[in-house]
Amino acid sequence: MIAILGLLIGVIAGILWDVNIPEKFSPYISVAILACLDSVFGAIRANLSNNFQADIFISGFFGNAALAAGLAYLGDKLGIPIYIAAVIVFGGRIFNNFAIIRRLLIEKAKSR
Amino acid sequence: MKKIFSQLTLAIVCALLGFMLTYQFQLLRKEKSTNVINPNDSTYNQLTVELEQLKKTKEELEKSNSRLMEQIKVYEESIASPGDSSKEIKNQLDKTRLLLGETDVEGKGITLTITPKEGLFDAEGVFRYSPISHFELAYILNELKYADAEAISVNDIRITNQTGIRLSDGGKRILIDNDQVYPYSLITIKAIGNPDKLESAIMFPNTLNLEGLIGYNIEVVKSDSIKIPRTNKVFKSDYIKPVEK
Repeated sequence: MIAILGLLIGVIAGILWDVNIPEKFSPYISVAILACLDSVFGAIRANLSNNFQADIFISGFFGNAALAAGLAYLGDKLGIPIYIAAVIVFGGRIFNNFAIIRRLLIEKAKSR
Repeated sequence: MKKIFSQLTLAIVCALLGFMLTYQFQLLRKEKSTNVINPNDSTYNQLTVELEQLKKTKEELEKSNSRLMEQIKVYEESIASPGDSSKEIKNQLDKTRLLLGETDVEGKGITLTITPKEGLFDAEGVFRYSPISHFELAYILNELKYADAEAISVNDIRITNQTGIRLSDGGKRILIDNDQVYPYSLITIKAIGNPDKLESAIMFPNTLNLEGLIGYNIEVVKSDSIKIPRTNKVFKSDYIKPVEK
């Protein structure tokens, strides 16, 4: 509930607040978003299986985002598309997490 | 207490994610709308025109190249036959090339710079004065020629006797043959000739009293060594023929 509320506030802030992040950071933000999404899915999963810990979620959220953006930057400098590694890993994990979330939800619905 | 804190941080983190997502969406949408090539766009048109011109120039250059190669062959044959006449012909040819503008030249002369004045644009980005056009440019070149300039260049574009100057793109560009000069940036005119005569011709009172020159600072610098590059123009002689006696 509180998460959705936060998300809404963020979306509204994004629409209304005309902040200027230089456009060259745009690809890094994209990768960072993917990492954050992965963290969020991980959090939902943990929440459903009742072992959610806020500190782990938050450190993962920022850590993953920073690492993904950093890797993308490093790849840019080295001329290797390292960001693909981040995309594949996080993408795969998002699907993984989603599969587990699905199972947990269905099991919960069945046991009711 | 701990639960409230963790929920609060969760909300903040989610807000951050939402913000990043929307920001990125907006950025990409903006990019998409600016990246679309609009056929009515002036730069698009400009590029098409330039491409066409370059293609034409390339064709002409290729043609003239093959023609010149043939000429060289003929000359080589004539050199093979000994005699003073061939040397004389060569000298004549060199002089003709010099006058036509087919060689890099150097000599005394003047450099004329036409610089747009500061504050040329008003708050809305509209030009305050009327910009320089082909009229003013051709007028200045004519003044220089009348003052016996032997070689003239505009932004290092050699002016030859077959060079034409005209306005293009509604005044955004001045075409000198296939090259371009932009009215809102620095224009440098170099002329080789008697420096005093050239300077007095330009600086004579009221000579530069033209509407299109009000918004520009014009400066003349005399120099002992002015370098003017050769023309890349392909001279045409499709129609002219000597009169047979």
